[in-house]
Amino acid sequence: MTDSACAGDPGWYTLDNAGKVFPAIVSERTTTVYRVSATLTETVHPDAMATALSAVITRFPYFQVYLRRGFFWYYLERTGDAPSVLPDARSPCEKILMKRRGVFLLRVRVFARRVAVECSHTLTDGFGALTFLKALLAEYLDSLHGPLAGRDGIPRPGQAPDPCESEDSFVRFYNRLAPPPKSLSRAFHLADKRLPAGRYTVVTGILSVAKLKEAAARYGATINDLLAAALFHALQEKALAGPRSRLRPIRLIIPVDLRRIFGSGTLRNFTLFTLPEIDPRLGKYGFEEIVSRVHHFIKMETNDKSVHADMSRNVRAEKNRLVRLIPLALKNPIFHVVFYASGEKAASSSLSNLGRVSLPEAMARYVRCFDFIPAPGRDTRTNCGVISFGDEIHVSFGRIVRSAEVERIFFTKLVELGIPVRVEG
Amino acid sequence: MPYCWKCGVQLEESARSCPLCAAPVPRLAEPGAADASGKPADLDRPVDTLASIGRRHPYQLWMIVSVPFLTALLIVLSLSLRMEQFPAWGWYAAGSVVAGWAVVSLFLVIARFPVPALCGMGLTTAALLFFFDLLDAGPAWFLPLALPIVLAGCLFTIAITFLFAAKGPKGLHSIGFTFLAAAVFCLAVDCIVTLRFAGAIDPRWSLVAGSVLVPFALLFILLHYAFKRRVRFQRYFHR
Repeated sequence: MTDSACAGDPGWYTLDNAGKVFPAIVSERTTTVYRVSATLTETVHPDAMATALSAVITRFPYFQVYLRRGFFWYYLERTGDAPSVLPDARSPCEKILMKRRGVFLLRVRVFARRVAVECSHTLTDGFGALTFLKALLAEYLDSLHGPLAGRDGIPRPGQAPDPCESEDSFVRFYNRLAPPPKSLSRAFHLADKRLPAGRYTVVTGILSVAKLKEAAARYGATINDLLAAALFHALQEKALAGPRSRLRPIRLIIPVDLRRIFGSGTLRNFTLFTLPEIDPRLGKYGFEEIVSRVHHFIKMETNDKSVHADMSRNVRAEKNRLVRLIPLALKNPIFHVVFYASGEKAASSSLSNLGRVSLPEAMARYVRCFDFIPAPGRDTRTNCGVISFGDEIHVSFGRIVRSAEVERIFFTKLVELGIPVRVEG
Repeated sequence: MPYCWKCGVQLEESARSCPLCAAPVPRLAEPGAADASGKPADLDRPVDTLASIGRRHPYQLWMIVSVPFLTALLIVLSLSLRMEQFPAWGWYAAGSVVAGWAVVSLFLVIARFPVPALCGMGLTTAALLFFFDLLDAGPAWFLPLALPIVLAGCLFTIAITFLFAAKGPKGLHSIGFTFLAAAVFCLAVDCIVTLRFAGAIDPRWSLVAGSVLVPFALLFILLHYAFKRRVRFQRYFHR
């Protein structure tokens, strides 16, 4: 068991608090799979990548696991197998058949110069997947170009993993006395026609970090605030273009990396959300007004006290004796209902920012860019993932609807702000 | 680097259309370059890009649909011929299958031209009824009864089709106009039937049917136009 903080490698792991809910809601549309990829300056050799993957996966024993069904909960069972390197697929973030035997909860795909790690949220969050990708890239480049200098900060095969990397930090840091958070009303959802189940369309916009910083500074905000405000603006335009009866508050899920707040070193899920909102029923918000609201909301909500309410609610539900005694077969439908009734219902879209990727100079010269595609959502039909490397920031929209109107309004707004945007679809 | 002329974003070199708004990326052909058909590209004349969109192949579908009809006809005929005397039900069944095939064929082949398609369906129905009348000891009820009812049905269907084409098929008013046409059709059928059997026009039951249909029809039409003009009920029906 790893419930107690920083236990050693036990051969099996309980799912962390956030990961417990995902096996119950997995479907063709809600795959819970996101993707972090790197584009190199040269074509990827699949054989060398497979060798690197076999070596690196042993450094992350908590990722070298299969999902197993217990009587009360799912759990992760350690295996000696290594995942295969797969060719890239047309539609990213496809469902991982994680409940089948012999299926890893992450997969590595290669195509031309790109290597991608697609990972289920059951296993880890974006930070964990990015750390794994960096370790994989380091090992791969090491094998091709000789030992790389300065890769000390990147996990290396053969190193013993820190036991704290596999801990459930939610359980470690939650506050028993924190009151539950306020319940949120149903948010505005896009009414566009959906693509067939399993189809996920991605559009990526490439922007200059310097230009974005300059534009954000004009509003006294951060890059993340500015991007969130542009997404709010796009959703507001969509909401106001629809019937007035469908107008509801527009809320964005903005994940907060709790490792920075609590100083945790876990590589499993340790992310919660902040949910800034605007309510177009009160009137149309100007862009400056949106930036200001988002900036102040995020500043106020991203601290240890504000996240304790959400964290405590989730952990208390997990620790509840009645919940623990319910067999898994009954838990799954309950989790399904609860997730859609209280989770996605309250949000219109999401904006996940993995931040700036830093690599040692010896590695960075072989890497052109990074991309991050968020997991598709059933209700939040268009989601946004942001990642930056060097002087470029990649903003990827994944959508399960036919219309790319949100993306169009979003990028057009950035162009209006004087930020050149290059779009790849 | 090409730009989207609608969104203002840069696109990939290989992009043919904008991934955001689907606007095509304008590209000039090389001087003297030929298109896929081998003809030189003519930059002065606009190209009918819509011509190739939505082109259907009704004849292929018609051939596929004809197979079950033909199979049914062959089964009916072979079963009938196995019996000592060709039975009457065989004619009825065979006639119905042929008429069904004709109606489906009309829909598939000339569905884009509603009036000829509807007239064709009316003619097929009339021909089938005439055929049944002949089987039933010579022509008796076709001319005074079946033909006028089929004609009335065709006329009302064509009228409704024109109305929908002119006003647009969406909205509550389409239900209203259909109800009105149904009421008028009931009246016509009632007149024809009573004239044939009682010798005089006596449209009693169609008036009962009409008294139900017409108020609903008017309500739907009123609601449609009230909503369309954004008339508020409170204001519209104030006391």
